[in-house]
Amino acid sequence: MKSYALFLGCSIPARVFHYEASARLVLRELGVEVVDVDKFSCCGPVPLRSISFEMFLTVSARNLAIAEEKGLDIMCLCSGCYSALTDANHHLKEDSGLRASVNERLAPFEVAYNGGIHVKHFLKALHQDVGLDTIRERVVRPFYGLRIATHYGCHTTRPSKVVQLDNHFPPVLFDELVEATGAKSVQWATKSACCGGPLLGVNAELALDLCEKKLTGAKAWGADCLCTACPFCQVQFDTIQAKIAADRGRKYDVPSILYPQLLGLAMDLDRDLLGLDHNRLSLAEIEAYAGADWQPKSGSDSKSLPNSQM
Amino acid sequence: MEVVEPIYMNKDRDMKFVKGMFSSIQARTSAYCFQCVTCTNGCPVVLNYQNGAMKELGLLPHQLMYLVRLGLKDLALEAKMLWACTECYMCTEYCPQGIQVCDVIYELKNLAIKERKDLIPRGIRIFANTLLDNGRSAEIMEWEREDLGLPDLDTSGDEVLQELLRELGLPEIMDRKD
Repeated sequence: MKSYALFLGCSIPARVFHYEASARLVLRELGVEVVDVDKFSCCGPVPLRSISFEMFLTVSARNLAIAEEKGLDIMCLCSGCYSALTDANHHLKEDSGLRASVNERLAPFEVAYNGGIHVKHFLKALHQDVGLDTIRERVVRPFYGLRIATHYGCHTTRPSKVVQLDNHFPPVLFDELVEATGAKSVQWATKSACCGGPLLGVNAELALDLCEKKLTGAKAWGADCLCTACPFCQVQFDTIQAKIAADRGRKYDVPSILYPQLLGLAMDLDRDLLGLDHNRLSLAEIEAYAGADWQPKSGSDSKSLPNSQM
Repeated sequence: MEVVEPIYMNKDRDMKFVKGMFSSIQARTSAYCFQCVTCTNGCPVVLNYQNGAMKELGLLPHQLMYLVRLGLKDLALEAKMLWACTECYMCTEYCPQGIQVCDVIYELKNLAIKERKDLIPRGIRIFANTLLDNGRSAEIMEWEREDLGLPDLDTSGDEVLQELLRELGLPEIMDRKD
């Protein structure tokens, strides 16, 4: 199977190390090799691009060049890194003049990017390289009956022409991955809306407002939990949800699980190594669904509607 | 009562700004705007404030696009909308004219950083200082990573990034006295 240069960025090693731990574990189990490449740096994220397009592009290009030198495509866990590197890659591949001027600025650092690699999101690697059939075969403790509000994250999906996560738009890839674990990926009105994460450092009140809108939506559509594949979204739905309960006195009780944690539990991997106790909000009720006997309840309760995939 | 000077189209338009925007990589698509308001209707930030959006944001996304064409640079750069944008790309995705609305907003922010230091949000200054001082935007939690059996993280790229950002003039653009 294909190998990738694993790109961690800043946020995961600082705050969402359980994403890294669970992703590495799941990837190893499924036979996807990830290589830790030296000298990667911060990706060139939203705030840097807000300061200067040129700086964003040059910083991203340097990272792309390092992976290219190793002959590896990049795999991102973070949607922010994915967006920055994919967008920079798009510009640099399309515009050779721009690439030349960026390489000129990189020359003193003895790297150059020739537009030769792809950037892939962790979710797409699972969907494309491993495949749904293999994943379903490895699920031994399915989450039957669990209703999940799947949250793709803006920067994983848009602009669709640039990031090209899925052949479909709106994408279905993450829903399919969630349903491969036996859970139900529910439809919900605010599914494609922003979590508010990018605003945390600039306008915290607005970031909390946007987070509450998502939580309200997930709850209204009967989700038991959210599922994410981005450190910023996860921090919003986990840490910030706890902050909203404390500061604004509104409790939503829809915890958020990272996708590799969900998949790892369904594959019966070690819950401690999946870092479940590093989530701020308890996942005990969610964990209890894994491999539990589940029968669709009779009656009109929409929460007990059987999973359409079963 | 405070007397407000009205905008005078014969004098207040900055055509150099229009030309710069229409020929920049990030904002050139703004020339295609026909004011359908799809961007504003899809914006989660506008939706959050609902009827108070004009008051909270100054200008809405479609109005920003229009100001670019009109060449009313100061009004565009001063809009609170610029720094409330989450860069979620909802506007960009659904624009029927293919305008990279988020990228136009990035270009306006880039200009504001260059020319209107008074408007730079505190969070952006903190971010720039953190990158320049530490080479990464957040501190690594070594012991937590160790707990979970994660490998040692190579951080040799951090110093290179600091040097690269100094080369690219980040300290100067942020008015940082080193």
